[in-house]
Amino acid sequence: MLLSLLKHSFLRQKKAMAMMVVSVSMGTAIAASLIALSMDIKGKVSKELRSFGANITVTPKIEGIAGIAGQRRYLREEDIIRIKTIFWRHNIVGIAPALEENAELSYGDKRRKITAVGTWFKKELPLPGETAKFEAGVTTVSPWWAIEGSPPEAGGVVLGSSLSRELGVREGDEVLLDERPFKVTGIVETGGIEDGRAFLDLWDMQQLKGLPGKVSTISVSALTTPMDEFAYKDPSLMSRKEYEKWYCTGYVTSIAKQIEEVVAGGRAKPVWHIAETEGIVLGRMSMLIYLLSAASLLASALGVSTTMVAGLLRRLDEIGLMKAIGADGIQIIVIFLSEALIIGTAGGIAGYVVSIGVAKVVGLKVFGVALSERALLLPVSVAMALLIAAIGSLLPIRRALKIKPAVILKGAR
Amino acid sequence: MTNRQWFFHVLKNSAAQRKGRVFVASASVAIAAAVVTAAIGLSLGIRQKLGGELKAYGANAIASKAEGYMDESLLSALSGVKAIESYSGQLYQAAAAGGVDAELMGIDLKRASGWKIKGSLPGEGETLLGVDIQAALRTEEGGTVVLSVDGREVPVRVSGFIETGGAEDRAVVMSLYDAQGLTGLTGKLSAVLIRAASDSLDETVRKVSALMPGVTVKTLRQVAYAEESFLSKVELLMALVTLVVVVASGISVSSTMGATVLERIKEIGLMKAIGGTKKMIGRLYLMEAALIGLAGGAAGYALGFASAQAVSMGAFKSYIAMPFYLVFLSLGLGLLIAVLASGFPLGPALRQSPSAILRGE
Repeated sequence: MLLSLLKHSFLRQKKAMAMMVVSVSMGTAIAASLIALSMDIKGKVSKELRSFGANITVTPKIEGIAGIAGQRRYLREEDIIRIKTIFWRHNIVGIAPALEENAELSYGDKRRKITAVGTWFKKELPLPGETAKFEAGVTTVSPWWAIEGSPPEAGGVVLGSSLSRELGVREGDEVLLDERPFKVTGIVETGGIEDGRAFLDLWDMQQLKGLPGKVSTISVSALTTPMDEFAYKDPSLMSRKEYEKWYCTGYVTSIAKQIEEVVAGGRAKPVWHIAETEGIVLGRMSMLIYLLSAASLLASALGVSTTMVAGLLRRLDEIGLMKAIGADGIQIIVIFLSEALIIGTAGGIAGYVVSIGVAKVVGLKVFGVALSERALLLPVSVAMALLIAAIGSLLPIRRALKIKPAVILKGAR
Repeated sequence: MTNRQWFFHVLKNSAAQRKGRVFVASASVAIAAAVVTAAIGLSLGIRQKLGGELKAYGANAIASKAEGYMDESLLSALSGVKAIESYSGQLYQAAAAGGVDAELMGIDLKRASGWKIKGSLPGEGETLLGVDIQAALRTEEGGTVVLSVDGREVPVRVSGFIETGGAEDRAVVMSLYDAQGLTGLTGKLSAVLIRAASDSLDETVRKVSALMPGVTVKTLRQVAYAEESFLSKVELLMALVTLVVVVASGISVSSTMGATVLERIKEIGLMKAIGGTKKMIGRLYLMEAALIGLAGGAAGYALGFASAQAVSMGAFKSYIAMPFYLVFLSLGLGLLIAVLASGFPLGPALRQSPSAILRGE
């Protein structure tokens, strides 16, 4: 009997029912899209913020006075790949080594004492024990470098813009570094200290200075968990449990510590102003999206409720008639809630489908990568829609129960 | 009663009799308008809010001379450039601390916020010591370090230690004034760090270049590139979210209003039967829809404004500036959606014959 009633109810008012389903699904779509976004936003924004540069630098440990004035200490090139074996290896998105030494640059009859830097521009490193390769190099850590020309291969050098302007050197010219010839393959401008330096491939630099297998610093770009009060505690003062928790959370300090463990003689330090600003920006963005999701959920709930109320208020005649022919309160509630159930389910599913499309488009357009599909959102969307549809039915049901059939059928409201 | 009097009479009574339904319809429009207002308001202001946070990444442009030092008086030229949010002069010179190579850095200490400093900022005649140098010399806070600069040896009290992960770790950092005194370079600067609005940065760099002859002004690509790329992505994100919200709300409200009109089809049939023309009835319903739209739009704007401020407070701990024209946008949107949504089903309803309607088809 109930099913027959429901079937006829929907068939007779196809248009009105369809409109309610559409309304519910739109409200659900907004809420579900924003929830999907808030689940993914932290990871996406984190990745974006890496373009501000390395957040960890590794330098040789300095013990005593020796090592600064006069003597130089170095790190081992072979330890670089070991950074991709630490507990947090999947968070390491960029590594760039640098061997910085004084050198004499000469072009024609001009001579300059400069700092020459040996580094990798784009280097594929085989990962130990895996078939996959890891791309390291300056571009993975400092994406803002703009090289006019091309990065140096063997026997090539890239000059900073200020340096090249001073000496009048252009791309394609040949210069001498410590009396050895190098071809200028490009000019780099960053606005920073790079503009006054010369950059070679690491191997060439090591050969030039007789320092095979050595580097002076390693810059690392890592995805980190923002620092909080707990993270700022001195690890040497932590209890065993606390230490484990710290070590296993991707704070910039714990990742730095893990890097120190694999790089012989190295001291890994966070680049604080980058690490901290990143944490602040991440926090703001997450909060913004969470709040937007909450607000839109509320708005959707209210919006859908009004639709349900509007749709049901007009059927007061029907209710009066039903009561007149003997329906009691419970039966009426059951009828309306069943309708709400159908509308809610249909609307929830439709809303979920729409939200998948929205999430995909937004993810691709903004971050270049689709937001991850969360199957969990389907039951969540349907549950939301059902809840809203049910709540939206409450007011009309209350009114419906109070109706006196004779009054309604006479036409009064 | 004239036609006009009848018109307003019916309009008034119609609303009065169907208070509940009119309220629901207005509420529906109001909620949609609120959501749209909040979304647009936040979209427009997001650059300014986030940009404020990104300021912490530091300067995005630098002015320096290829050789030699700049005159501090050049700084006055910068205060006239609107796009420049802040600037500070710095002085660098190679020196030694306790026999160890160290860079002497004179900075505007007010800008040192956000730096990791153990101890306190240097007062007059004091200095900060970079952590790498501290590790080498084993100096204590409050101790003295002997600086070799400009051919002299000067003992300076160490007020604290600084760690940034950058050049400061191997430097002695003090106030610009003290640095100028120690090096004998009073009134001179090595560079000026500039922080300007990121979307017009290239233009600002050109302007400053023109204002400071003989000085090279460059964008600090590290900050400028990343910042602009990030801000434009966030703006795009907010714009897309707003679009989704506008479309979905519009459809939602339209459905609600449409359903409302459909229910009153009997009334239309009755009015036609007693002599109402399509024009009169149409005007009546559209006028009602318009009023609902305007009322909803007004309430929606207020609600949306409050919501946007709440979100801004929650996320950025400050209020967001919303342009005034959003009021008109909200009213207009409410009006447009309400009228269109009512108008659509109205057309076919008006064309039906009254007897067909009253019979219940």
